[in-house]
Amino acid sequence: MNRQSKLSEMMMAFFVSTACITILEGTMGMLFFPDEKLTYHAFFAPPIMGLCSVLFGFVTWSKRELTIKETLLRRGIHLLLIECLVFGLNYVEGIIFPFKVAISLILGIAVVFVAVYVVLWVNDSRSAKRFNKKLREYQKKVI
Amino acid sequence: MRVSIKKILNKDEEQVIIECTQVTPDIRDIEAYVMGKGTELSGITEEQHRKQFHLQDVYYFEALDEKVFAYTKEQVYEIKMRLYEVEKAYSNYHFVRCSKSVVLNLMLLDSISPAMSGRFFAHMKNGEKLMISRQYANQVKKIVMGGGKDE
Repeated sequence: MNRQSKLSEMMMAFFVSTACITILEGTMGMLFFPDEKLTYHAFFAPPIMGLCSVLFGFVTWSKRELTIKETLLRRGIHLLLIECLVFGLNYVEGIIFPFKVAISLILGIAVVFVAVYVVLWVNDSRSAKRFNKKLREYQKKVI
Repeated sequence: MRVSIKKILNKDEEQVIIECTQVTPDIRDIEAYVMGKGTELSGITEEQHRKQFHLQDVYYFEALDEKVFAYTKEQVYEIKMRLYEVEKAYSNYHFVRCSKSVVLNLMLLDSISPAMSGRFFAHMKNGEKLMISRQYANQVKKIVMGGGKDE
């Protein structure tokens, strides 16, 4: 993977995670804090969290090719770092979530994390489909 | 060892003759090298028999423990070439490097499907599944798709 395709993959991960975090925040807010009033600052939370999540992806980076097992392990660490970031920032702000909210948030973050990889996988799948079509043409042309 | 090259007119009569007092491993290496230069290759089977096979029947070449193997539908041959030599010598015959240890035949590739982290699975026409590493994925795509935007 060259630098350009890596960058476009990171951009895609950023936009998908920002959109998913917005949905997650909205859903959790409506469910657990329906009377809470937010300021304009709240609009910046999803992109900032999205950016941090993408940057934490450095743990999945490696110069050598990782095995499937190693990749999964590093993705687990990546998810753990994001969970720590969310709970850590809230703790610094003096917010400690009740048990029910905390569990919902942990699961919500995991769902967003998986959703981002699903979107990236769908993109790769579309790319593979186009390749397979061109491969047929290539093989016919040579024969 | 003396080497002489004689020019002839008829292409069909081109040949390499090795004159030696004894068939040593060095001579065998030279023989294997010469055999590897055409599209008919020479390799050693698992039963330790030297056999000829056609390049177009090779699904892929794989480097394992300092040795290089050619995989056809029925046989696996050990060949006396390095993987980078295979990659260089047969790039014009639609062979392309798809990972650190594998050079595959695009003509016998059935399809690809996404794996993890920008990697792809290569499904060969004999049903075998190989890995296209993210380092070589763009190179493979470029050859088939003609260096288009889809990388």
